[in-house]
Amino acid sequence: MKKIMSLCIVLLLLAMTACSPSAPKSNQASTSSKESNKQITIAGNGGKIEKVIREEIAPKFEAETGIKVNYLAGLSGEILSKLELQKNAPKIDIALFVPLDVYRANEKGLIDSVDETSVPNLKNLDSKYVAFENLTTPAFGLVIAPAYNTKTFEQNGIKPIESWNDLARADYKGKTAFADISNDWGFNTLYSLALANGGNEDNLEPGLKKAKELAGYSATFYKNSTQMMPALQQGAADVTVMGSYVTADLAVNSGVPLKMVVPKEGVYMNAFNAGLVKNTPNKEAAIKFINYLISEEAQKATADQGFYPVVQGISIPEKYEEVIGLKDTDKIYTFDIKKLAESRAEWTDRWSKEVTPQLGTLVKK
Amino acid sequence: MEPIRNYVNEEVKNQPPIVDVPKRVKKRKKKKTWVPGLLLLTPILLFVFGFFIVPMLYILYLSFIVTDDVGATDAVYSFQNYIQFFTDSYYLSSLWITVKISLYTVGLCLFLAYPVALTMAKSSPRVRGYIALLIASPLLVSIVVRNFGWYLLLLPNGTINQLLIDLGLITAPLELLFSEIGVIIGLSNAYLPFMILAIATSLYNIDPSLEKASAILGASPLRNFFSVTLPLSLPGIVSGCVLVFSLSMSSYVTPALMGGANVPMMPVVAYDQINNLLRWTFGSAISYVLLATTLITVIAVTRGFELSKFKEVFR
Repeated sequence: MKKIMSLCIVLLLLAMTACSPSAPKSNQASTSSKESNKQITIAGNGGKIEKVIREEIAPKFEAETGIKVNYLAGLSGEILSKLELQKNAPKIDIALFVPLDVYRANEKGLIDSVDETSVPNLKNLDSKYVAFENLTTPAFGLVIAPAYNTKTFEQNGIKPIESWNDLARADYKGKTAFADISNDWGFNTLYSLALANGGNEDNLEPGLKKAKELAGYSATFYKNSTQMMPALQQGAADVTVMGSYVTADLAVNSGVPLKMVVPKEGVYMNAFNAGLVKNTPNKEAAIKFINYLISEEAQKATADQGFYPVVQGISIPEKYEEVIGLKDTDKIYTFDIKKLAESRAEWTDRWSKEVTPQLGTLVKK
Repeated sequence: MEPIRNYVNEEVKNQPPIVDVPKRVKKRKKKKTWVPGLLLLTPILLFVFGFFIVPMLYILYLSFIVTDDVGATDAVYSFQNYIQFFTDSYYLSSLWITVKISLYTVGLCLFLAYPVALTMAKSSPRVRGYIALLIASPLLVSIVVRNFGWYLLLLPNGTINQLLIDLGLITAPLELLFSEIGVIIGLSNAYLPFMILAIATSLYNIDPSLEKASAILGASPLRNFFSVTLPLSLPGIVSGCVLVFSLSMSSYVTPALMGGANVPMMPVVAYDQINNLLRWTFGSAISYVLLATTLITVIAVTRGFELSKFKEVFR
C-alpha cells in the first residue's frame, strides 16, 4: 500500500513538472569553444517550418558542410524576447521572424544584416518578400489571407468571400476561426480590414471599427493559432484568416475542403525571415546556413510544404495550385512595417479593450 | 493521545534539570543537531535561491522600471506600472475574472473530491491504492494534450453538445467552450487530484475510535459526519483549497486554450504583455499583482480557519 501511495506521489510530482508553463523544450546544445562552428541553433516557429528544416534542410546541410543544426521551436515574439534576454551571450544563431518582429529585433540591436558577398544566393531573391531594408533574409514565403470551407458554403448557399469585409457576416453563425490580436495573423487581419475601409498604416481606426463587427459575428478569437486547425477540421469553423501554408496543408494533406481567397483589396505577401543574431560565436556557420536556406534545393523543399518559394524561377507544386495558387491579377501588398511595429502596442491595447468584449454579441443562436 | 504527551513534556520542562549540565557542553550539543540539518538542506536552498528567488527578485525589480527596454541605462524607477494596472478597468476586470474562476474551480473540485476522498478513507488499503493510482493517472498526460481533448468534447458540434441534443435535453448547443465555464471545467479536471489526495490524507489520520465513540453516544451517521469527520478533515480541505486556488490563479495553458480571447485571465494577459508586446516591466508588475492577490487570499483563509472555532483541529 505504501508503495502504491509513494508511487502516486512520484507521479504527481512528475505531472506537476509537466504541467508547469509550457516553456518550449530547449534542445539547443551548448557550443563549447572547441567545437564552435560545428553546430548552430535556429529558433523558429514550430510546426511546418520546424518540420521542413528538421527533416529536409538540416540533414542535407549537415551532409554538405558537416555542421549540425539544432532547432528551437517557439513563436516569433517569444524568440524575440528570448534574444533580448540573451543579448550579451546569445545561444541562438539564427532567428526566424515575421516581418514586424524583424523591425523590432533591429530596433533593439539584436540582429546583423548580411550581404551578397557572404550570402551569394541573395541575388536570386524575389524582392517582393523583402521585409525591411534587407536586414534579414526572407526564407519561407506566404500570404496571410482568408480561407473558407467550400462545401459548407455551397450547402448553406453562402456567397463566396470577395472582400475583407465579407468576413463579418451573420451567415457563418459564429463558426469562424480568427486569431487574436496578439498573433501575427490577427494583427494582419486588423490591418487588412483597415485598408479595406479606407485606413492605412497611420490610421487603423476604420479597421478597428470593422473588427468590432467581426468580433460580434465570431464566437471567439483564438489565443493559440494551432487550435485553429482542429477547429476547421472538426467543422467548428468554416471561415478563417491564416497563413497560406497552413491553408494548403489542411486542404491538401488533411482533406478539409478549404480554399484560400485573395480579396479584391489584396493580401499581404511576406515571409518568415532568417535573421543573423548579433554577437553569435558561430557567425560563419550561420551565414552558410542562411545561404543554403535560399538555395534552389532548400526552396524546393519549402515549396513542397506549401510555402511560396522566395527565389525566382521556382513555382509551388501542382497539388497546392488549386488551393493557394496566386494569379497574376491578384492584388498583393506590402506595408510600412516601421509604422505598424511602432503602433502595434497601442492598437493591441485598444483591440483588447474595445473589440474583444464584442465577441459573440451579434451571433444569432 | 496527544494531550497526555504534551502534559508529560510540560512537566519535564518545568522541573529543574537533574544534573547540572555545563553551559559549553549544552551549546555544542545544539550545534551538532543544527549543522547536519542545514547541510542536508543546502542543495535545495541553493536551487531555490538560484532558480526561484533570484529570478523573482529580478522580475520585482523590473516591475518598478518605466521604460520597456530591458537593461536600459536611463531607467526611471516608479510605481507607474502598478498605477497603470489599478487605474485601468481592463486589468482590474482581468484580476476579478481570475479570482472568480479560481474560486469556482476550488468549489467544483471540493464538491467532486470529498466523496472520492471519503470512499478512499473507508476502503481497505489495497482498494485505496488502486483509487489513488486512478486519480493520479490523468496527470500522466500533458495538460496541453488534455486540453485539446476537452476542446474537442466541448465544441458546439462536439461530443457533449451532440449527446445532449440527441437526448433532447437541449435544443441549441451550450456555450461550453471559450467561456468561463469551459475554463472552470478544464481547470477542475487538471487540479482535482490535488484536492482529493489532500483531503484523503487528512481523513486517514482520523482516529476511528472517535467515530465509534460518537456513535455509542447516540449520534446518527449524518450527525457523526458533520460533527466528527468533517471538522477533523478541515486541515485537508483547507490545504486542498489553497493548492487548487494557487494553481488556478497562475494557470496559463487552460485559460488560453479553453477560454480563447473571451476569458483574459491574468497569466494570459501578463504573457501577452511580455511576449507579444515586449513590455517586460508592465508584465512583471501584472505578475506581482497576481502573486500578491494569491498570497493575501491564501494567508487570510488559512489564518481565518486557524483562529476559528475549529482551531484545535489545525494544531
